[in-house]
Order: sequence, then structure tokens, then C-alpha cells
Amino acid sequence: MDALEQKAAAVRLQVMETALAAGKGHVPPAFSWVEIGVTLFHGGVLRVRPGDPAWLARDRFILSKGHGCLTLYALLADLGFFPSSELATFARDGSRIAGHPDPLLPGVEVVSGSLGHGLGLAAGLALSARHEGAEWIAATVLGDGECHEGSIWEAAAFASHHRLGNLLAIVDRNRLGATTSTERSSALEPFADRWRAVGWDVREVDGHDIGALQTACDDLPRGRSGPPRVVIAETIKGKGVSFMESSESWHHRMPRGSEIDEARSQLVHALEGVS
Amino acid sequence: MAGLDPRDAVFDAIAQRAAQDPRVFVLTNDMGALGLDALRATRPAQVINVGIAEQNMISVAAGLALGGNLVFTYGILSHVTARCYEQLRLDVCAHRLPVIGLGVGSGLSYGADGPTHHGIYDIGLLRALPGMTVYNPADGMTAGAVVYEAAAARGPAFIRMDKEAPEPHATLSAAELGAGARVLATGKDALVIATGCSVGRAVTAAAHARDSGVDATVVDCFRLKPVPESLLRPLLRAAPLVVTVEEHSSVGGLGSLVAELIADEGVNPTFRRLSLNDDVYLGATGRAGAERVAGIDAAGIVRVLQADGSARRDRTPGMARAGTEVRA
Repeated sequence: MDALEQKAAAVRLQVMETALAAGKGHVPPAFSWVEIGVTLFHGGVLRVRPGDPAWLARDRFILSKGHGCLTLYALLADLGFFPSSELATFARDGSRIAGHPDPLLPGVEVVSGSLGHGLGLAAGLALSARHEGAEWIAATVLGDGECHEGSIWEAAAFASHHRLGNLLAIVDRNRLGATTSTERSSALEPFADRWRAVGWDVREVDGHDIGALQTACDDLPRGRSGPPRVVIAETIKGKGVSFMESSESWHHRMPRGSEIDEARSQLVHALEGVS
Repeated sequence: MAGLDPRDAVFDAIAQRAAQDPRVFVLTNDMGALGLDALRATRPAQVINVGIAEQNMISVAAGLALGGNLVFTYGILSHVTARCYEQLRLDVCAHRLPVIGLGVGSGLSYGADGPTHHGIYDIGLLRALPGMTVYNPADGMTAGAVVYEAAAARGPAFIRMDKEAPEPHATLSAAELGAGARVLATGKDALVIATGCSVGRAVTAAAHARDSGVDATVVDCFRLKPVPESLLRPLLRAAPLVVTVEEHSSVGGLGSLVAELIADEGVNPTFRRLSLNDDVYLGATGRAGAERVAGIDAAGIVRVLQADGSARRDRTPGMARAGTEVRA
């Protein structure tokens, strides 16, 4: 577990450095799903081959909340999908590491960033896998604000109706949209009950507890029909930098002046603390 | 006389393909068709009614296509274009996936059902999608043929289907299928380019105009994107009068794409765009009446050919040269 926590701390620091080098990026929405991403890619959930990104039997992963891509980039680089040095090109003209995910980059399946697309895409992929009798799964990470989109609920009903047990959705439930609480704009609660009502296998966990996330993602029924699974991961937007945490001011704002040193200091300290 | 229904032709073609290939899917937003029922009876796992959820239909189609399948999506034209436009743009076109949209109800096929069901804005929408091939067949035979064409291309495509089922306007050769357009009549005085249901009106109009001394070439432009340039450019260079006819808004459709081609070609024929208005047609709209008012019925086309074809011929001795007249 310590190794995975250390990985998460390293990912956060990498996210911050990548954004600082570019002078832009959605840092707090990336921080909130770091443990989710580490669990998926390092915690034994997803089967991928970094040296063979097009491996036919790979699990398909879609970051539906595409604006959280800095965490995905840090994870994919660390796994070896592309050289870590390339992270320095983030958001630069001509880079394949864009402000939202793009399949030009090895390890990225689809463009994402307009919200509400990922669950339907993943449902189509899961249906395809089952149709061909394959064991790979489709997994997607959704933002909770994204779940305001009607298309998410179209896809949720479809996946349940077709018993896509090979579909895993994890909702990054940080309770903040771009400018305010999800509950103040258009309340999502009772959120878990909504998923249960459309027939999903619902697991509610602390989204920063890697062990709990691993348990929630355990024993996915590969190649079999059953209720699709949603893990509602209670998270903190901006997790890891105190002044960003759960703040309505921090969606795509970048640290300035002394905030930069403070953010770095906290992230380095966290990394050293688990080393 | 009724000919092959475009829907029957399309689903027959899909059924033939699906019989050989288990990786062909048809998704529908709860829209029925006899051909779809037949396909469902033989290939139940490959026909999926997603319910009335167009956005999800396109996203699921894209997911299936990412998994290696050829996917058709079927519904009423106006609903399966605008409602799910972003899914078409991002999920399908951004990845150049083999998802072929089938939309029934082109033009005022569903005129009496009101503006919710009018298929008169989508050509402009679909043409704007990168990588999207757009077909607008004028008869059932062509509708069936473009299914094979679109399936073979394994990229994004959309096939508009009309509720009318005319007899085939002509045969369709492999070369014409590849070109995306075919010449149905030839004449030196005017070039009439029509698409979809307007093709039949144009053919009728050209026959009448010929009786009054105006000989028109008539082109069935059944592929709207990519534009059938190889066929249209030489004709545009030679034509003294160009008339486009479409049952679509004046914005973004056939008239727009021919205007672009004329501009690109640098010629200056007399140019008349016949279309519906840039408007919402409230209430129950009868097709024949709306076409008459808009001047896109056969009589309206004849009037333009007689007025502009005759005037042009009278002013220009012999065969007019393209690009010689500057219009006010």
C-alpha cells in the first residue's frame, strides 16, 4: 500500500510541475482522482501493455472528465506509454499532450473533455467485448458535475438494461462543479440511490483510500453479464494542496507568487512523508 | 408509380452485409421499419433499440465501432442529427469511425407533423462535420447502392432517406456511384442540379422546358459530401445558367455547396438557388403546397428555366460561354 500511496504523491507532484511549466491546466480536478487513477493503473484493476498500446485484449479506459487529464498524463508517462520528458510539452503548439485527452497520445482511447460522452462510449465498448466473447472490460472515470448531463443517465439506463457487467464507472464525487457546489447548481443527491434506481451495482468509498478503491473495483465479472458497477468515490477537489482543497475558486486557476512555493512544498512534503 | 422504398432498399443492403459479418450492428432510437424487423428476426443480437435516447445511441455506436464493428444508426432524420450533433462530431468524426447514420424524413417527408419533424436543416449541419460523407439518394435503388459504398469506406457517413418511393430515375453505374452524381438529361441551355426528392421534380421540369425550347442538363447530386467535383466542375464551366433545387433550407445545403464550387471554379453563370426558406414552417405543412410556394416544384423550376434560360439564350448567340456575363 505504501508503494501505491507514494505513487499517488509522485503523480500529484508531477501534475503540479507539468501545469506550472505550461502555465495552465486544470490542477484541482486532476488532484481529486489521483488515488482512483493509481488504483486503476497500478492497483491491479486495468490490464494494459504500455509497450503495446493497441493490444487487442487491453482493457479500455476513458477519462470522461477529460479536464482531469494531467493525472492521466502523469500515470501514462510513469507506466511508459510515452517518455516522461514529453510531459514538458503539455499544451504547447503541436504537442500530442493537449489540454484535454487526445488519442494521438499512446494510452488515450478517445478525445474527451466535452462532458457526458464517456459512459455511452464505454457502454458501446463493453457491449462490443461481450459480443465477441472477449474478457476485456471498459472503464471510465466520470466527474460528479458531469452527471448533470442527461446523456449520462441515458447511458446508465442502457448499460443496466443490457447487463453490461464488464463496464466499470468510477465517479469522482468531489462535490464541486466548475464554479460552485453540485448541490447548489442542480442537486445530485440522493446520488447513490439514483444509480441504484437504474440497476447499477453501487459501491461507495473514500476516494483517497486506495485499499478501499481496490476492494470496490475487485472481482469485476469479465466476460459475463450482470449489473454494471459504479464506484462513487468521495473525494476532495484539489486534494494535496491545502488552499485548493474543496474551494470554489480553484477549478482551473493556477497558483501565483508564493502560492507556487507553498503548493510545491506541500506536495514534496507529502511525497517524502510516504517514502 | 411507386418504386422501391428507400428504407427497404437500405435495410436489404444491410441485411446482406450482416448475413456475412457478425460485426455489423443496427441501433435505433425506437424507430421501426419493415426491413429492420426482418433483420431483427434473423440477427437479434445485432439490432438494438436503445430507446428514445439519440445522444447515447451515437456514443454507444461509436463505442461499438471502436471495438471493431460496423454500426448503422437509424431514426427520424431531424432527431438523429441535431439532437446528437456533438456525439457525431466528437465520438464518431473525431475518430473517423465506421458509424453510418440513417435518417428517414428528408425535406418535408413529415411535413404535416410540424417543424419538429422537418428534415430541412441537416445538410448544412452534416456537411460541417469533418470526415462525414453525406448521401441524399433520390430513389430506392440509389439508397441501397450507397449503403455498400458507405460500408466499404469504413468511415463516418450519413444517408438521408425520403418517405417518397419513386421509380428509379435511371440506372446507376459503378462510375456514377463513385462520382457521387449522375447525369439524367443533357442540354446546352442550362444545368439543373437537384438532390433527393427534388430530382424527380427537376426531371419533369426539364422535359417541359424542352418543349418550350430550353434544353437543360439535369444532375442527380446524391452525394453532398465530398462534393462530386469531378462531375460537376466541367458542367459548371460550360453552363450559361445553373439552377440548384433542394427541399432544404436555403442555408448550407445544395445551393450553398454549388455556390462554393462556382466560386472555387472562378466562373460566373447566371445562378438560381431554389430551396425552402430559411424559416421554421409552423403548423401542418403539405409538401406539394410548400413546394409550390417555394417554387421548388416542377412548375417553379420550369418558370426559372424559361425565364433565365430563354433570356440567356436570346442574348448570347450560339452556345453561351461560361463566365462571360456579369450579373447585376
